[in-house]
Amino acid sequence: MGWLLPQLVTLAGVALTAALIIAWCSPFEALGWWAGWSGGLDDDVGALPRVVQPSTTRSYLVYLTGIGGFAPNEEGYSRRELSFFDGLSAQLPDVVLVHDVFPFSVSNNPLDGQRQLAGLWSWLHSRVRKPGGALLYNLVMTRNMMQVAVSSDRRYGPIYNYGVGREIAQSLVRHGYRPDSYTPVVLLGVSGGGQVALGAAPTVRALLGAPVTVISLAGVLSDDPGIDTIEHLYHLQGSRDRVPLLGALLFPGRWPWVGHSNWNRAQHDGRITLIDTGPMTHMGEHEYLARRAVLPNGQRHVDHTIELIEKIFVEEGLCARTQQSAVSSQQG
Amino acid sequence: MIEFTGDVFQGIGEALRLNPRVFEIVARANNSNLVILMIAILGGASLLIGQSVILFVNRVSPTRFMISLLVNGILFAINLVIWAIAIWLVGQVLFPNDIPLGTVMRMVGVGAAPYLFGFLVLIPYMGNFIGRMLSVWSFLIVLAGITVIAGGAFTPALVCVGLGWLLIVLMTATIGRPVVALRNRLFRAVAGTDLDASVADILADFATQDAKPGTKTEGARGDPLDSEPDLHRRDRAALSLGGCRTARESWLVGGLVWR
Repeated sequence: MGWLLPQLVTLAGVALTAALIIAWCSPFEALGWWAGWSGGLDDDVGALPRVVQPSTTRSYLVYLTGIGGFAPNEEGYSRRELSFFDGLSAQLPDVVLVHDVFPFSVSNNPLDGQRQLAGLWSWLHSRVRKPGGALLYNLVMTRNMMQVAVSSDRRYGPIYNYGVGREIAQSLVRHGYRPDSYTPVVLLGVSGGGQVALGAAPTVRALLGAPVTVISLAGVLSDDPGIDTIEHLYHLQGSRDRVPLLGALLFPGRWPWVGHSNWNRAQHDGRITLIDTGPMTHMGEHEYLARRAVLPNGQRHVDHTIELIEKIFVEEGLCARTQQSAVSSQQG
Repeated sequence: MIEFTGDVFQGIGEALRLNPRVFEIVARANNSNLVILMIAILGGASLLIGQSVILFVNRVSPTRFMISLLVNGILFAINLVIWAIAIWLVGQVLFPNDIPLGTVMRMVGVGAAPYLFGFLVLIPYMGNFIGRMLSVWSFLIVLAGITVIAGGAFTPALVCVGLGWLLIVLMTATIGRPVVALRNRLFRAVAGTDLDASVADILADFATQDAKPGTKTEGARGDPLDSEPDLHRRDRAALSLGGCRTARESWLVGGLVWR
């Protein structure tokens, strides 16, 4: 066994070095975008192909994936996510579902998009289901996790969140959103996507004049100032999921004894609602969107998650269904 | 050249370990001035890489970015010289001695060694903490160095280093203001931004500036997000309402360590 220890130490050293390099490089995408070094701010807005907002549309729901995200398209999303979208669309027919924004890029540039390491990320993504692929995919997750750290960092956050918020606003317009129509927008962020949703909310609100509600599905949330501009924050978390607690631990503004922080103020004002989703985990077979795992009452995890989201929409009047009709349909 | 580079790295390594021997060598060797100057300039440049958000936010070009690093390195070295003079003056007044000013300067220069890791301040979330650690580390090196040249007298060394720092803070706010203004003018000429400028100030400038013609693609008129002037108005609103407030809070903790 003596030979194993040096090998493990070397491996840990390599992993730590890789993580440090990724962490150090992480703000450059947003900073370079803002500075105009990478094309940037001035050439990505303009004539947008758009559709007319149907008169039946009650609200818009923007899905922001978790740190395992690769690209906001059919190839990038997992089968669980695609099935989740189908379920949401079926349950919320008068809500326009938007899922073409990649929350871990300031300019909505997917990992297989125009970027220097696109080849590496694509290769890692193609191997994720092969032996050892999941371990290597941790590199992608580390990369995305660092973008979450950029979003929550008070030095870079204003730029990063502004960029993502702008992309969300543009995507909403592409999907028929009419600025200043006051149609409600809901940002649904999974895991690290929850923090990005919170950070981007002020920009979406300012660009579109839209009331914004954030639903965090197991989000790792910081004490983001964006919380002051949203209508409400719903935080859904499973009883077997400890990952979201990282946010409460790592960000001093979320510590209960830190008075007057954005988070504590919002909580005091009743603008944060915590919802227990039952015995769900952050990842794996028992995660929130799992199609095979069932709750003690026999309901599939994904169905329960959709039901909770639907309930929020009903309670907030974000869809045409009323609480009464929702109850009667469940009883039926 | 290779020997010189070797000396630089060896000096850095020993100083980081607070090795008393390196302080003894530095105290005796007048020819170490160039090595120490290099450490100070590289430390200043590295620190600015770590805090380069201010350059990026100000949208400096890559060329200006590189020049800013060099200028900041030089300004950083000058700052250390002023600190060394303050330490030496306090020593002369409170604990009369015959330690040459040059020796104190070399010790303070060696103290800049931790700032070679200043680029790590760029790391999100933990960068500010790293910055503070580097400041403490640097202070300890200077304190150790002054203690060595003071013949092991720790308390007088602590008083000199501490009061010297306090003296600079007082002077910066009083009679040293023209010097600070000159320093800021120099930096502004190179980087296009003030050393004292916050991310909030720069974003607010962007938010209030006039729309630059031709910087956006024309879209169909009538739609608020499509219309160019209106997009600028909305962008400015987003920056001034959303971004700036958060940035102002951030810069209070992310300010230049040596300012």
